[in-house]
This record gives sequence, C-alpha cells and structure tokens, in this order.
Amino acid sequence: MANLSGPAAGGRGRTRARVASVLSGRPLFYSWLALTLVVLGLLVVASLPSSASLLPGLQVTLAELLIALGLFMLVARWGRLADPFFEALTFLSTLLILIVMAVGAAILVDASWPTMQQYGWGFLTGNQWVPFPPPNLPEVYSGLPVIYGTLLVAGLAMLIGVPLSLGIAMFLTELSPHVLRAPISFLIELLAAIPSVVYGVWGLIVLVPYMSANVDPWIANHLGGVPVIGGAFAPAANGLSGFNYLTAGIILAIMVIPTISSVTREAFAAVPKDQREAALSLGATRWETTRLAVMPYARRGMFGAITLGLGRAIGETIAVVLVIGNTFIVGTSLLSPGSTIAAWIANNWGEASGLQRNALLELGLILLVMSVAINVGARFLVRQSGARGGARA
Amino acid sequence: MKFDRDFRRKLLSAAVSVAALACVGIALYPLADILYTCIVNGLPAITSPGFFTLNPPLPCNNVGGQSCSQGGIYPMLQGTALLVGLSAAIALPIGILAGIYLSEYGHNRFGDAARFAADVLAGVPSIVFGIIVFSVFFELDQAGVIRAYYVLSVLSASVALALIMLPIVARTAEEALRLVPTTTREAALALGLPRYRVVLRIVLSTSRSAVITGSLLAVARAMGETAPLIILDPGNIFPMVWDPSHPTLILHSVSGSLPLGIYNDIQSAYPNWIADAWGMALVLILIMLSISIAARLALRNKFSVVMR
Repeated sequence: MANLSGPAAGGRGRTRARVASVLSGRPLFYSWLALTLVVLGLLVVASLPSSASLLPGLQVTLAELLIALGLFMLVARWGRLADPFFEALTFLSTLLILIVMAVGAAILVDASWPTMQQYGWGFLTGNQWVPFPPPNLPEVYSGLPVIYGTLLVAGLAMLIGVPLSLGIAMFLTELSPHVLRAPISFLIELLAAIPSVVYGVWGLIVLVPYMSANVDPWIANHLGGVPVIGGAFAPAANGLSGFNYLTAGIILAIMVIPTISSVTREAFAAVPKDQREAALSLGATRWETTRLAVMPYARRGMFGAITLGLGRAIGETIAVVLVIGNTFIVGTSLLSPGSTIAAWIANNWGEASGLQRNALLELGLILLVMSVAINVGARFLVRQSGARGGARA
Repeated sequence: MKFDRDFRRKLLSAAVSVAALACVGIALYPLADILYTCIVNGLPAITSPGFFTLNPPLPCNNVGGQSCSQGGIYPMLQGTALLVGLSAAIALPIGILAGIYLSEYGHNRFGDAARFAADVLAGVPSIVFGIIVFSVFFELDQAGVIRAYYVLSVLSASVALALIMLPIVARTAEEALRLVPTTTREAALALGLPRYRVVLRIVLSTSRSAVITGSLLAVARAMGETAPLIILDPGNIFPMVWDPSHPTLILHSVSGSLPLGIYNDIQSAYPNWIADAWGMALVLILIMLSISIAARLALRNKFSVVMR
C-alpha cells in the first residue's frame, strides 16, 4: 500500500490521490450507511414498546431486518459480495421509482372504484356535486365543471404565457447584449423559486382587488356587449368579484413563464450559428432571421416547452384555489367563478369522507392521467428536438 | 418601391425587438411586485419581538380598542423543519443511490424505463402525490398494518414530500455523475479497486458539489409545497413535543408548517393572523430564494438544473 500511494499521489492529479486515500482505508459512505442501519434497527427495538409500535404485526421483524442488513453490509464490505451487493442496493432504489408509479396509479384506480361503479362515464359529463342531499335523495358527484375549469384556466395561461415566454427566449438568445443575458435569465428563473402559496397570497391580496376594480369592469363594458363572443366577457351572476377563471389564468401564466422560456431558450441556443449567418447574409432582418432560420429549427423544442408548461399549469393547486372562487359551475364567461380539479380536491378534502372522498380521488385519477399524457408528449418532443432542458424538468 | 419595403421590414424587426424587450419587463414586474409586497407587509411581523420563538396569537379583531398580540410562528418553523428533514432523510439516500444506478449500471432497458418513470413522476402534480399517499396509508390502516393516527401525520406528509423529491434527486444525481469522465473510472478500476469503491470514493466525491446542489434544490422545492400538506398534515398552532419515553410519538402528531400556515392565516378574518401570514411568506421566500440563488451560483458553468 505504501509503495502505491507514494508515486500515485505525487504527479498525475487528483484521481490517483483519491485512489491512494481509498487504499489507506478511510471510513466510507458505505460503512456509515451500514452502521446507520444497525443503529436504526437497534433504536427501533429499543424505542418501540408494544403499545406504540410502528407496525404492530411486523415491528420485531422489521428491526431484525435492519440489523441483519447492516451487519451483512459491514461484513460484505470486505468480501467478494460487496460489488454485487452495492449494485443490488442501487438497483432496488431505482426499482422503487417504478414501484411508486405503478402503486400510485393502481391505488387511485382502486380508491375511485366505488364512484366508477356508481356513475360510470356519466361522471365525466355530469355537472352536479351534492354531498349533503335532502332526505331520501342520493348523493350526486360528477366532474365536468372542474375538468372544464382545468382546461380553460390552463388554456388561458398558455394564451398569455406562451407569447411572453417566446418573446423572452427570443430576447435572451437573439437580441440581448451578452452582458445582460445571464442576469436576466437568472431573474426570470427566480420566478420558479417563489413558492406557489406566495403566488396565491399575492393573487388574493393584490391581483384579485386590482382585477375587480380595473380590468374586469373594462372587459365587461367594452367586450361584454359584442355579438357572438360577448358572452365570454359578460359579468358573472355575483358581479365582478375578481375571483374568476381569468385571474387564475393570469397567475398561472406568470408561474409557467420560467419553465417555458428557459426550455425554449435552450432550444434556440442549440440552433447552429450557420443557420443565422446564412439568413443574415441574404439580407434578412433580425426578426426574419428568428422567424425563418431559428424558429423552424427549434420548433419541436418550442412545442415541448409549451407542453411542459401546460403540464405544470394543469396541476397547480394553491395559487388557483385562492383566486378562482371555488364554485362548481360550468361558467361560460371568463369573468365567472369556477374551479379546477386540483383546486376542487384541495378545497373539499377536509370535509370529505365516504363516497365524496372516492369522487375526489377519481378526480385525482383524471388529473394524473391528464398530466402523464401531457408530460409524455412533452418529453417526446423535447428529446426529438435535442434541447437539453426536457430531460430534467 | 424597394426602399419602402426595406423600411417596412426594418420597422417590423425593430417593433418585434421592442416587443420582446417588453415581454421581459412584463415577466419581471410580477417578480418585483411579489417581493415588494411581501417585504412591505412581512417586515413589521418578522421584526416584532418573539416572532420566531412564540406560538401564534389568539384570534383578535381589534374590537373595542383592545390591542392584539402579534405572537410568533414557532410551531410552523418547527413543523417545516421536521417535515423537510424527514422527507430529505427518506428521499436523498434512495434518490442518490438510484442516480448512481442510472449513471453507472443502468445502460439497459430497465434503466431507460426508470429514467422515463422518473421524468413522468417529476411532472405529476403534487396534490396527486398527496392523495396517493393518503390512499396508501388509509388502506394500510384498514388492513390493520398501521394505526389510524398515521394517516394524517407528519410521517405521511413527509412520505409524500419525499416522493415529490425522489425523481428530482435521482435525475440530477445521475446527470452530475455522468459528468465524471470515463477515463477517471477506468484509471481507478485499473488499479484494482472494486467497482463500488470506484463509484463511492472516486465518482461520487468528484461530483459531490453538483449532487449536493441538486439535492438542495429538491429540498427547497419540498419546503414550498402546500398541496400535499392540505391533504395529509392539516395544521397545528401548537408546537410538537418530543417525549423521550415515546420517541415515535412525534411522527404521528399533526404539525404546523410555513406554507400551510400562510394558506390558512391569509384567509382568516383576524388582522394579527394576516400579519403573521405575511411574515411567514417573507421567511419562506427568503429561505427558498437563498437556497435557489446559492445553488445556481454553485452550478453555474457546470450544468443548468432548472427548478420546476
């Protein structure tokens, strides 16, 4: 060992120094993990009187399992088993990700089985939610208003957020001076670091009163009377409260901007310089270069970014529940209160039990299916485009 | 006329450039306004004496000129610390081990499937994780495996937060480990080291800072999650007490937490609770922004993890 560490640590850089330090036998992460398991097992044995057991039927077995696993790992460290054992450990951790996905989907199907049995496909098209019916009448649950609300609010968020994000991405890759690129994209990505509950609080205290006092009356007065499309801008039955689809859509638009703009920016940045130079040398202006040479090249990346943003908008809960008014109706006007799947679950979970909880779980299953479909689509598009952002969203 | 057409084209290009700049301004305005609003409303609260050490005040309406006490947010800080600590203790070891598998062993169809599953899981809304964990704990309770008080508890909420962190940790760890050159691994293997030691002592410690940064971003994300807590840990205005004679008791208590405290208090009718909500919002923003900024600065020029 000594003759190895001498020359190895001397010349050729860090790798050999590391190898030397390993051979000199400093404690390993692995040993610590093994020791932790043993101690954890002993703790479980020591700390769980039968009255307060974590797993009534299994507690002794579990503790023994932990101790045995830890001891085995300690022994295996010196043995030939260490390598396959470590690989198996990492394999099991990875398997857990697949198990989570399978079990999660299965348990939601199982939990929403009662309402599936009772309402069938009618659950998707009904618009009543009656958890406490008058005597002798059955409870009624259905999903259309919140499914509609989810799609409408997410659509509004895309309508507002996508042009803004594309503009930002274009500014950052094509127009901005180099000095400003890093700071501006840093600030834009800070939008993603603000927790959603703070967006909700800001929406409730700042945006809702502002919409109610300024924006909503203007929309209702100027667009509400237009034939054909006027209905979409008419005031709601309860007036212009500010709690409506439009406010929720605006909040979500702000929240998806960092996602869409950063992935689009990466897609734009991945376009070869030759593309731009070819267009510029033909006399194209900046905008023509972007439109004709950059955007077609980055098209899939852009669509992937938009789909990722849509996936985020569709599942947002807290920011929406605070500003949308939580009403179970299919509102034809953007100024009407409503709800989304996630918001409706959050708003009703506390009081729900029995069949109502099953109905909320079925709504959750619908949301899961929607978000998985959107994300699979997004990953497919982003991967095809070669933009690096999609893989780790 | 040719001149006119060129002029129009240049005008259009300039107009689009101005519009793109305006997009940046429109996006940054809410950021500035959110920070400004939280600082203006939150600063009086967090500078009041005992804000970090007292329990929340009694509801108080300022009726009849009585003065309301400001109180503090100690139970929420304690709850968030326990929730984040527990979920990190569950998710980080598993996530990093999974990242090791994906980077070092998983160049096969199983690895591709797991990568795909992690990407899909990362896009599942957090409230869905909340109701999934609720259903699992509820079924376990029905089957008699666990006690009913675990269904709504710090433990179940931590499991949900851990599931939210898991795919993020695994994928960022994988990307960090992949950046270590293959020649480094080969050099170590050629010296006769077993593979697990190469992975742990050479590969993992070379990419240590990136793995830690990715984990920090995941922790920050878990800290700000509210939706799973609405389902699983519906809030408490008293601090949890650790009883050495029943050490696991604390795991099935219901805790307060910063995000849920903000959510509940901002909707209340009491001025002193609303003031506390702003204070908590400012505290949460400061913690999350500093983690995020530190992580981004540390990661600059290495790889761009986007926190979504």
